[in-house]
Amino acid sequence: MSWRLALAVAIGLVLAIGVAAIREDPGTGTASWDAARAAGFAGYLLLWASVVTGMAVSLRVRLLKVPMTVVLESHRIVSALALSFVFGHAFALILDPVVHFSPVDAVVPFTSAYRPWQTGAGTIALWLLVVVLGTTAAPAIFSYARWRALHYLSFPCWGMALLHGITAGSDTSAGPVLAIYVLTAASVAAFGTVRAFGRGWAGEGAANPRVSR
Amino acid sequence: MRSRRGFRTERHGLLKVAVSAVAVAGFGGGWIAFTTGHDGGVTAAEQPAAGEAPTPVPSSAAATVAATTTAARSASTPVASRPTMARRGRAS
Repeated sequence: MSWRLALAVAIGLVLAIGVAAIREDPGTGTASWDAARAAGFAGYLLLWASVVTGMAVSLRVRLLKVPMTVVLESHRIVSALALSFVFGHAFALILDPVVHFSPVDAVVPFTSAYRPWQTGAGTIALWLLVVVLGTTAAPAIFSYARWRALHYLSFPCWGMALLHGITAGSDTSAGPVLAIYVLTAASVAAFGTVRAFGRGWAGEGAANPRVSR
Repeated sequence: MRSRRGFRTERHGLLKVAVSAVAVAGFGGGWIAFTTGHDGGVTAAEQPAAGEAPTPVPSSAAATVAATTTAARSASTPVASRPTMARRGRAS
């Protein structure tokens, strides 16, 4: 379900961005660039939601008092959607006539002429997301311990995405954008602290045997 | 105890459709907001007047604005694409 929805969203993004890029003026048009910005933010926020809901599942924290299965399934769909929007982000940048971002730049870190290490952080985040989702999509291949170890890559993945957004994004100096970065980082830090040092703080749900990993 | 790992044991299809719709709506809203954010800015100054043939060459007024913007943002804008990036309002 999540994969099919994510695939449908990705196809929709490609079509919408492709049509907009074809219709925009090659010299002054900004449609593809604006789409890249919007998709980048959407991908980042979905990635953040994925990390937060993932830690909530791990800690058995029922966000907003919803059933744990809802939190788990939300974690799955936002994770899959994050990849769709990251793909849309890269696709829009490739079509943009100004930044000259090639498909190779999108998949090989530090090869872009435009802010190489900053965009490279985004490329690394993309690959880490692919690894995390790929190992989850094929659970039979990996033991639980190995899957769990690889799943921890979601933290550096989110961190790289945040670094990429702050350093490569053109909207970082805007107040609302800065607030998004600060609030998302603070929430992940808070959940991560509880996750790492205070698992017992999570409360009554911590021992709930109905939801297993 | 059954493992919930993997994507083959999924439930709550309606929830996932709703989350996807919210994500797409957020993306669309952001795209529109970014597009309208150019209105009244440097890009709008470049728009040809009614009946005028579209041209990628900026007017002298727009070029002046672009030069000013470029100077103000020169510290963080890639050198190779600086003039065009500034003209399109993406130089910060």
